[in-house]
Amino acid sequence: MLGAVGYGFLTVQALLVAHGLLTPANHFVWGPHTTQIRLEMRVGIDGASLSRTEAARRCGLDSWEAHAIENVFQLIEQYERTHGADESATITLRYLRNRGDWWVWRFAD
Amino acid sequence: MGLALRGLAAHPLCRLTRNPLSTRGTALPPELLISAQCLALFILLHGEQPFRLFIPYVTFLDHIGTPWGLQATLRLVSIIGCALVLGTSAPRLGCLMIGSSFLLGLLSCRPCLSVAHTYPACVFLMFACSSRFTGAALVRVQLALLYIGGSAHKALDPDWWNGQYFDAFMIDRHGSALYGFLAAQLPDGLLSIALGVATIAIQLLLGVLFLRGTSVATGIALGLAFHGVMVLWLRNSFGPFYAALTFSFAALVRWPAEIELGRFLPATLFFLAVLLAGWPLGQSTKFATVAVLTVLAPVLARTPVRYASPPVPPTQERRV
Repeated sequence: MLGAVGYGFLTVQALLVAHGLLTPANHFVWGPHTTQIRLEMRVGIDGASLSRTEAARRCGLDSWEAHAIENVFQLIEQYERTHGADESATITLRYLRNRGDWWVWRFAD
Repeated sequence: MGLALRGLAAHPLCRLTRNPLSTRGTALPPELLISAQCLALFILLHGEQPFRLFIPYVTFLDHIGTPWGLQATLRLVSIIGCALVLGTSAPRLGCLMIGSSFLLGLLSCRPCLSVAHTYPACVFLMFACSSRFTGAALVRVQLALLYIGGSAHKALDPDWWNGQYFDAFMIDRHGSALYGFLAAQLPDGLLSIALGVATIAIQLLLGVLFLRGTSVATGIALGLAFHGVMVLWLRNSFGPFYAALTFSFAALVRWPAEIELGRFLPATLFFLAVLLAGWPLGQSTKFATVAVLTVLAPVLARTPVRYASPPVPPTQERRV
Protein backbone atom coordinates (compact mmCIF):
# COMPACT_ATOMS: atom_id res chain seq x y z
CA MET A 1 0.00 0.00 0.00
CA LEU A 2 2.73 2.48 1.01
CA GLY A 3 4.71 1.41 -2.05
CA ALA A 4 1.74 2.41 -4.23
CA VAL A 5 1.67 5.81 -2.50
CA GLY A 6 5.38 6.17 -3.30
CA TYR A 7 4.84 5.34 -6.97
CA GLY A 8 1.89 7.77 -7.00
CA PHE A 9 4.17 10.53 -5.69
CA LEU A 10 6.75 9.68 -8.37
CA THR A 11 4.01 9.86 -11.04
CA VAL A 12 3.05 13.34 -9.82
CA GLN A 13 6.70 14.37 -10.13
CA ALA A 14 6.87 12.94 -13.67
CA LEU A 15 3.76 14.94 -14.61
CA LEU A 16 5.34 18.09 -13.14
CA VAL A 17 8.47 17.47 -15.22
CA ALA A 18 6.35 17.06 -18.37
CA HIS A 19 4.36 20.20 -17.51
CA GLY A 20 7.60 22.11 -16.91
CA LEU A 21 8.83 21.15 -20.37
CA LEU A 22 5.73 22.65 -21.95
CA THR A 23 5.52 25.88 -19.95
CA PRO A 24 8.06 28.69 -19.50
CA ALA A 25 7.92 28.74 -15.67
CA ASN A 26 10.06 26.19 -13.88
CA HIS A 27 8.85 25.07 -10.42
CA PHE A 28 9.56 21.63 -8.88
CA VAL A 29 10.53 20.15 -12.25
CA TRP A 30 14.00 18.72 -11.55
CA GLY A 31 15.58 21.36 -13.73
CA PRO A 32 18.17 22.94 -11.41
CA HIS A 33 20.67 25.39 -12.86
CA THR A 34 19.19 24.97 -16.32
CA THR A 35 19.71 28.65 -16.94
CA GLN A 36 21.65 31.49 -15.34
CA ILE A 37 19.89 34.84 -15.20
CA ARG A 38 21.50 38.03 -13.96
CA LEU A 39 18.99 40.42 -12.39
CA GLU A 40 19.02 44.16 -11.80
CA MET A 41 15.89 45.42 -10.15
CA ARG A 42 14.75 48.99 -9.57
CA VAL A 43 11.83 49.74 -7.30
CA GLY A 44 10.11 53.08 -7.02
CA ILE A 45 7.73 53.79 -4.16
CA ASP A 46 6.01 57.19 -3.90
CA GLY A 47 8.56 58.81 -6.17
CA ALA A 48 11.59 57.53 -4.19
CA SER A 49 13.69 54.64 -5.44
CA LEU A 50 15.21 51.86 -3.34
CA SER A 51 18.83 50.83 -3.70
CA ARG A 52 19.46 47.73 -5.86
CA THR A 53 20.13 45.57 -2.80
CA GLU A 54 17.02 46.78 -0.98
CA ALA A 55 14.95 46.31 -4.13
CA ALA A 56 16.12 42.71 -4.60
CA ARG A 57 15.77 41.83 -0.91
CA ARG A 58 12.22 43.16 -0.84
CA CYS A 59 11.05 40.10 -2.79
CA GLY A 60 13.75 37.76 -1.42
CA LEU A 61 15.64 37.81 -4.72
CA ASP A 62 19.34 37.46 -5.30
CA SER A 63 21.26 39.05 -8.18
CA TRP A 64 21.21 35.61 -9.87
CA GLU A 65 18.33 33.26 -10.66
CA ALA A 66 19.02 29.66 -11.67
CA HIS A 67 15.59 28.48 -12.77
CA ALA A 68 13.54 30.55 -15.24
CA ILE A 69 12.84 34.26 -15.60
CA GLU A 70 9.09 33.52 -15.53
CA ASN A 71 9.58 32.32 -11.93
CA VAL A 72 10.88 35.80 -11.07
CA PHE A 73 7.97 37.54 -12.84
CA GLN A 74 5.45 35.40 -10.94
CA LEU A 75 7.26 36.01 -7.65
CA ILE A 76 7.26 39.80 -8.08
CA GLU A 77 3.62 39.86 -9.20
CA GLN A 78 2.54 37.77 -6.19
CA TYR A 79 4.55 39.96 -3.79
CA GLU A 80 3.15 43.20 -5.20
CA ARG A 81 -0.42 41.90 -5.05
CA THR A 82 -0.11 40.63 -1.45
CA HIS A 83 2.64 41.88 0.89
CA GLY A 84 3.47 44.99 -1.12
CA ALA A 85 -0.08 45.85 -2.23
CA ASP A 86 -0.24 48.96 -0.04
CA GLU A 87 2.99 50.43 -1.43
CA SER A 88 1.88 50.64 -5.11
CA ALA A 89 5.47 50.13 -6.21
CA THR A 90 6.77 50.51 -9.75
CA ILE A 91 9.20 47.75 -10.70
CA THR A 92 11.72 47.81 -13.50
CA LEU A 93 13.62 44.57 -13.93
CA ARG A 94 16.61 44.31 -16.28
CA TYR A 95 17.73 40.77 -16.87
CA LEU A 96 20.31 38.87 -18.87
CA ARG A 97 19.74 35.19 -19.67
CA ASN A 98 23.02 33.26 -19.89
CA ARG A 99 25.06 35.41 -22.29
CA GLY A 100 22.23 36.77 -24.39
CA ASP A 101 20.92 40.33 -24.58
CA TRP A 102 19.62 42.48 -21.74
CA TRP A 103 15.83 42.63 -21.51
CA VAL A 104 13.55 44.88 -19.51
CA TRP A 105 10.32 43.87 -17.75
CA ARG A 106 8.08 46.30 -15.90
CA PHE A 107 5.42 45.95 -13.26
CA ALA A 108 3.18 48.82 -12.26
CA ASP A 109 0.12 48.42 -10.06
CA MET B 1 14.39 -2.80 41.53
CA GLY B 2 14.65 -5.54 38.93
CA LEU B 3 10.90 -5.74 38.69
CA ALA B 4 10.65 -1.96 38.27
CA LEU B 5 13.22 -2.04 35.48
CA ARG B 6 11.42 -4.92 33.80
CA GLY B 7 8.18 -2.96 34.06
CA LEU B 8 9.84 0.09 32.54
CA ALA B 9 11.24 -1.97 29.67
CA ALA B 10 7.75 -3.26 28.91
CA HIS B 11 6.43 0.31 28.57
CA PRO B 12 5.32 1.04 24.97
CA LEU B 13 7.66 4.03 24.76
CA CYS B 14 10.68 1.92 25.74
CA ARG B 15 9.69 -0.75 23.22
CA LEU B 16 9.67 1.97 20.56
CA THR B 17 13.33 2.81 21.14
CA ARG B 18 16.02 1.01 19.19
CA ASN B 19 19.78 0.75 19.26
CA PRO B 20 20.83 3.24 16.51
CA LEU B 21 23.65 0.88 15.47
CA SER B 22 21.31 -2.06 14.92
CA THR B 23 19.67 -2.55 11.54
CA ARG B 24 17.00 -4.90 12.87
CA GLY B 25 13.54 -4.36 14.24
CA THR B 26 12.22 -1.91 11.63
CA ALA B 27 10.18 -2.20 8.45
CA LEU B 28 13.06 -0.77 6.39
CA PRO B 29 15.77 -2.90 4.77
CA PRO B 30 19.19 -2.28 6.40
CA GLU B 31 20.66 -0.27 3.49
CA LEU B 32 17.69 2.11 3.44
CA LEU B 33 17.70 2.43 7.21
CA ILE B 34 21.43 3.27 7.31
CA SER B 35 21.05 5.81 4.49
CA ALA B 36 18.03 7.43 6.17
CA GLN B 37 19.92 7.61 9.47
CA CYS B 38 22.98 9.16 7.81
CA LEU B 39 20.87 11.77 6.00
CA ALA B 40 18.87 12.57 9.15
CA LEU B 41 22.09 13.00 11.12
CA PHE B 42 23.54 15.20 8.37
CA ILE B 43 20.45 17.42 8.42
CA LEU B 44 20.52 17.68 12.21
CA LEU B 45 24.22 18.56 12.36
CA HIS B 46 24.11 21.01 9.46
CA GLY B 47 20.86 22.62 10.61
CA GLU B 48 19.54 22.26 7.05
CA GLN B 49 15.95 23.38 7.49
CA PRO B 50 14.42 25.48 4.72
CA PHE B 51 11.52 26.84 6.72
CA ARG B 52 10.35 30.38 6.16
CA LEU B 53 6.91 31.76 5.43
CA PHE B 54 7.33 34.33 2.66
CA ILE B 55 5.34 34.62 -0.60
CA PRO B 56 4.14 30.99 -0.41
CA TYR B 57 3.20 28.83 -3.39
CA VAL B 58 0.11 27.80 -1.47
CA THR B 59 -1.40 31.19 -0.67
CA PHE B 60 -3.63 30.02 2.18
CA LEU B 61 -0.45 29.50 4.24
CA ASP B 62 -0.26 33.29 4.42
CA HIS B 63 -3.47 33.29 6.43
CA ILE B 64 -2.78 30.54 8.99
CA GLY B 65 -0.79 31.55 12.02
CA THR B 66 2.36 33.64 12.01
CA PRO B 67 5.56 33.14 10.00
CA TRP B 68 7.37 32.39 13.25
CA GLY B 69 4.71 29.84 14.28
CA LEU B 70 4.94 27.92 11.01
CA GLN B 71 8.73 27.99 11.06
CA ALA B 72 8.91 26.74 14.65
CA THR B 73 6.31 24.01 14.04
CA LEU B 74 8.02 22.67 10.93
CA ARG B 75 11.42 22.79 12.62
CA LEU B 76 10.06 20.85 15.60
CA VAL B 77 8.38 18.25 13.35
CA SER B 78 11.62 17.83 11.42
CA ILE B 79 13.73 17.40 14.58
CA ILE B 80 11.28 14.88 16.07
CA GLY B 81 11.39 13.07 12.71
CA CYS B 82 15.19 12.89 12.88
CA ALA B 83 14.98 11.45 16.41
CA LEU B 84 12.47 8.83 15.25
CA VAL B 85 14.74 7.83 12.35
CA LEU B 86 17.85 7.65 14.49
CA GLY B 87 16.70 5.80 17.58
CA THR B 88 13.31 4.17 17.28
CA SER B 89 11.64 1.27 15.55
CA ALA B 90 9.46 3.73 13.59
CA PRO B 91 11.99 5.26 11.17
CA ARG B 92 9.45 5.44 8.35
CA LEU B 93 7.23 7.73 10.40
CA GLY B 94 10.31 9.87 11.06
CA CYS B 95 11.15 9.98 7.34
CA LEU B 96 7.56 11.01 6.60
CA MET B 97 7.80 13.82 9.14
CA ILE B 98 11.13 15.13 7.81
CA GLY B 99 10.10 14.84 4.14
CA SER B 100 6.70 16.47 4.70
CA SER B 101 8.09 19.32 6.79
CA PHE B 102 10.77 20.03 4.18
CA LEU B 103 8.23 19.96 1.36
CA LEU B 104 5.78 22.18 3.24
CA GLY B 105 8.66 24.52 4.10
CA LEU B 106 9.51 24.82 0.39
CA LEU B 107 5.87 25.34 -0.58
CA SER B 108 5.60 28.14 1.97
CA CYS B 109 8.40 30.20 0.43
CA ARG B 110 8.57 30.94 -3.30
CA PRO B 111 12.04 32.56 -3.24
CA CYS B 112 13.39 29.51 -1.36
CA LEU B 113 12.78 27.16 -4.34
CA SER B 114 15.80 24.91 -4.29
CA VAL B 115 16.43 21.49 -5.77
CA ALA B 116 19.13 21.09 -3.12
CA HIS B 117 16.35 20.89 -0.51
CA THR B 118 13.54 19.46 -2.65
CA TYR B 119 15.61 16.37 -3.43
CA PRO B 120 16.27 15.37 0.23
CA ALA B 121 12.56 15.96 0.95
CA CYS B 122 11.56 13.57 -1.84
CA VAL B 123 14.17 10.99 -0.80
CA PHE B 124 12.83 11.00 2.77
CA LEU B 125 9.31 10.49 1.41
CA MET B 126 10.59 7.58 -0.69
CA PHE B 127 12.23 6.07 2.42
CA ALA B 128 8.90 6.50 4.23
CA CYS B 129 7.06 4.57 1.51
CA SER B 130 9.69 1.81 1.22
CA SER B 131 9.58 -1.57 2.90
CA ARG B 132 11.41 -4.89 2.81
CA PHE B 133 9.10 -5.79 -0.08
CA THR B 134 9.78 -2.72 -2.26
CA GLY B 135 13.49 -2.65 -1.37
CA ALA B 136 15.28 0.38 -2.79
CA ALA B 137 13.14 0.49 -5.96
CA LEU B 138 11.44 3.78 -5.04
CA VAL B 139 14.77 5.53 -4.35
CA ARG B 140 16.14 4.15 -7.62
CA VAL B 141 13.18 5.52 -9.63
CA GLN B 142 13.48 8.84 -7.76
CA LEU B 143 17.09 9.09 -8.93
CA ALA B 144 16.06 8.19 -12.50
CA LEU B 145 13.41 10.93 -12.47
CA LEU B 146 15.88 13.51 -11.16
CA TYR B 147 18.36 12.80 -13.95
CA ILE B 148 15.86 12.37 -16.79
CA GLY B 149 14.09 15.60 -15.77
CA GLY B 150 17.40 17.47 -15.58
CA SER B 151 18.60 16.12 -18.91
CA ALA B 152 15.31 16.85 -20.73
CA HIS B 153 15.22 20.49 -19.54
CA LYS B 154 18.80 21.05 -20.62
CA ALA B 155 18.38 19.28 -23.98
CA LEU B 156 15.52 21.61 -24.96
CA ASP B 157 17.56 24.75 -24.28
CA PRO B 158 19.74 25.88 -27.24
CA ASP B 159 22.20 27.56 -24.85
CA TRP B 160 23.31 24.14 -23.61
CA TRP B 161 24.28 23.17 -27.17
CA ASN B 162 25.94 26.43 -28.26
CA GLY B 163 28.10 26.89 -25.15
CA GLN B 164 26.38 30.02 -23.82
CA TYR B 165 25.22 28.32 -20.64
CA PHE B 166 28.54 26.99 -19.39
CA ASP B 167 30.37 30.28 -20.07
CA ALA B 168 27.73 32.17 -18.07
CA PHE B 169 27.73 29.56 -15.28
CA MET B 170 31.47 29.08 -14.83
CA ILE B 171 32.87 32.51 -15.72
CA ASP B 172 30.13 35.07 -15.04
CA ARG B 173 28.55 33.46 -12.00
CA HIS B 174 31.34 31.46 -10.35
CA GLY B 175 34.40 33.21 -11.72
CA SER B 176 36.24 29.91 -12.20
CA ALA B 177 39.86 30.69 -13.07
CA LEU B 178 40.53 27.06 -14.02
CA TYR B 179 37.62 27.08 -16.49
CA GLY B 180 38.83 30.38 -17.97
CA PHE B 181 42.35 28.96 -18.36
CA LEU B 182 41.17 25.71 -20.00
CA ALA B 183 38.75 27.56 -22.31
CA ALA B 184 41.60 29.84 -23.45
CA GLN B 185 43.78 26.85 -24.38
CA LEU B 186 41.11 25.32 -26.63
CA PRO B 187 39.42 26.57 -29.81
CA ASP B 188 36.75 29.18 -29.14
CA GLY B 189 33.61 27.68 -27.56
CA LEU B 190 34.87 24.09 -27.63
CA LEU B 191 35.06 23.59 -23.85
CA SER B 192 31.64 25.10 -23.12
CA ILE B 193 29.94 23.14 -25.92
CA ALA B 194 31.69 19.90 -24.88
CA LEU B 195 30.70 20.34 -21.22
CA GLY B 196 27.10 21.20 -22.13
CA VAL B 197 26.68 18.19 -24.41
CA ALA B 198 28.49 15.89 -21.95
CA THR B 199 26.23 16.99 -19.07
CA ILE B 200 23.07 16.28 -21.08
CA ALA B 201 24.41 12.88 -22.18
CA ILE B 202 25.66 11.85 -18.71
CA GLN B 203 22.40 12.83 -17.00
CA LEU B 204 20.37 10.96 -19.60
CA LEU B 205 22.61 7.91 -19.23
CA LEU B 206 22.31 8.04 -15.43
CA GLY B 207 18.52 8.28 -15.71
CA VAL B 208 18.36 5.25 -18.02
CA LEU B 209 20.79 3.22 -15.87
CA PHE B 210 18.78 3.83 -12.69
CA LEU B 211 15.43 3.34 -14.41
CA ARG B 212 16.42 0.00 -15.94
CA GLY B 213 17.94 -1.13 -12.66
CA THR B 214 20.25 -3.66 -14.30
CA SER B 215 23.45 -1.57 -14.17
CA VAL B 216 23.01 0.27 -10.90
CA ALA B 217 26.68 -0.18 -9.97
CA THR B 218 27.77 1.65 -13.12
CA GLY B 219 25.19 4.34 -12.39
CA ILE B 220 26.53 4.85 -8.87
CA ALA B 221 30.13 5.04 -10.09
CA LEU B 222 29.24 7.48 -12.88
CA GLY B 223 27.07 9.56 -10.55
CA LEU B 224 29.80 9.85 -7.91
CA ALA B 225 32.36 10.86 -10.53
CA PHE B 226 30.00 13.36 -12.21
CA HIS B 227 28.92 15.13 -9.03
CA GLY B 228 32.33 14.79 -7.38
CA VAL B 229 34.02 16.68 -10.24
CA MET B 230 31.41 19.45 -10.00
CA VAL B 231 31.72 19.72 -6.20
CA LEU B 232 35.51 19.87 -6.37
CA TRP B 233 35.60 22.29 -9.29
CA LEU B 234 33.18 24.76 -7.73
CA ARG B 235 34.13 23.93 -4.12
CA ASN B 236 30.44 23.87 -3.36
CA SER B 237 28.36 20.87 -2.31
CA PHE B 238 25.07 22.77 -2.79
CA GLY B 239 23.69 22.48 0.75
CA PRO B 240 22.40 18.99 1.45
CA PHE B 241 22.24 18.04 -2.26
CA TYR B 242 25.53 16.15 -2.62
CA ALA B 243 24.99 14.37 0.71
CA ALA B 244 21.42 13.39 -0.21
CA LEU B 245 22.62 12.04 -3.54
CA THR B 246 25.45 9.98 -2.09
CA PHE B 247 23.18 8.58 0.63
CA SER B 248 20.64 7.69 -2.11
CA PHE B 249 23.40 5.84 -3.94
CA ALA B 250 24.29 4.09 -0.68
CA ALA B 251 20.65 3.00 -0.30
CA LEU B 252 21.03 1.04 -3.55
CA VAL B 253 23.96 -1.00 -2.22
CA ARG B 254 22.49 -4.10 -0.64
CA TRP B 255 23.74 -4.55 2.90
CA PRO B 256 25.09 -8.11 3.32
CA ALA B 257 22.76 -10.40 5.27
CA GLU B 258 25.77 -12.19 6.74
CA ILE B 259 29.19 -10.93 7.64
CA GLU B 260 31.28 -12.29 4.78
CA LEU B 261 34.46 -10.31 4.33
CA GLY B 262 34.16 -10.27 0.53
CA ARG B 263 30.80 -8.51 0.68
CA PHE B 264 30.82 -6.85 4.06
CA LEU B 265 34.11 -4.99 3.73
CA PRO B 266 33.42 -3.15 0.43
CA ALA B 267 29.90 -2.27 1.61
CA THR B 268 31.25 -0.92 4.91
CA LEU B 269 34.03 1.03 3.18
CA PHE B 270 31.54 2.46 0.70
CA PHE B 271 29.18 3.60 3.46
CA LEU B 272 32.07 5.08 5.43
CA ALA B 273 33.38 6.99 2.41
CA VAL B 274 29.91 8.31 1.61
CA LEU B 275 29.41 9.26 5.22
CA LEU B 276 32.70 11.13 5.37
CA ALA B 277 32.05 12.93 2.09
CA GLY B 278 28.77 14.29 3.41
CA TRP B 279 30.01 14.93 6.92
CA PRO B 280 30.39 18.38 8.50
CA LEU B 281 34.16 18.12 8.81
CA GLY B 282 36.41 21.00 7.86
CA GLN B 283 36.02 22.03 4.22
CA SER B 284 39.46 20.69 3.23
CA THR B 285 38.87 17.27 4.79
CA LYS B 286 35.46 17.12 3.22
CA PHE B 287 36.69 17.99 -0.25
CA ALA B 288 39.60 15.55 0.12
CA THR B 289 37.11 12.76 0.88
CA VAL B 290 34.95 13.78 -2.05
CA ALA B 291 38.08 13.62 -4.20
CA VAL B 292 38.92 10.11 -2.98
CA LEU B 293 35.33 8.98 -3.56
CA THR B 294 35.35 10.50 -7.05
CA VAL B 295 38.62 8.83 -7.99
CA LEU B 296 37.50 5.51 -6.53
CA ALA B 297 34.10 5.69 -8.23
CA PRO B 298 35.11 3.47 -11.18
CA VAL B 299 36.44 0.86 -8.74
CA LEU B 300 33.06 0.69 -7.02
CA ALA B 301 31.52 -0.70 -10.16
CA ARG B 302 33.78 -3.74 -9.79
CA THR B 303 33.27 -4.46 -6.09
CA PRO B 304 31.62 -7.75 -5.21
CA VAL B 305 28.82 -5.91 -3.37
CA ARG B 306 25.36 -6.86 -4.61
CA TYR B 307 23.34 -3.90 -5.73
CA ALA B 308 19.66 -3.51 -5.09
CA SER B 309 17.80 -5.51 -7.68
CA PRO B 310 14.07 -6.06 -8.11
CA PRO B 311 12.33 -6.55 -4.73
CA VAL B 312 12.53 -9.91 -3.01
CA PRO B 313 9.26 -11.06 -1.40
CA PRO B 314 9.69 -11.51 2.38
CA THR B 315 8.74 -15.23 2.23
CA GLN B 316 11.46 -15.93 -0.32
CA GLU B 317 13.93 -13.96 1.81
CA ARG B 318 13.15 -16.18 4.80
CA ARG B 319 13.63 -19.35 2.79
CA VAL B 320 17.13 -18.17 1.79
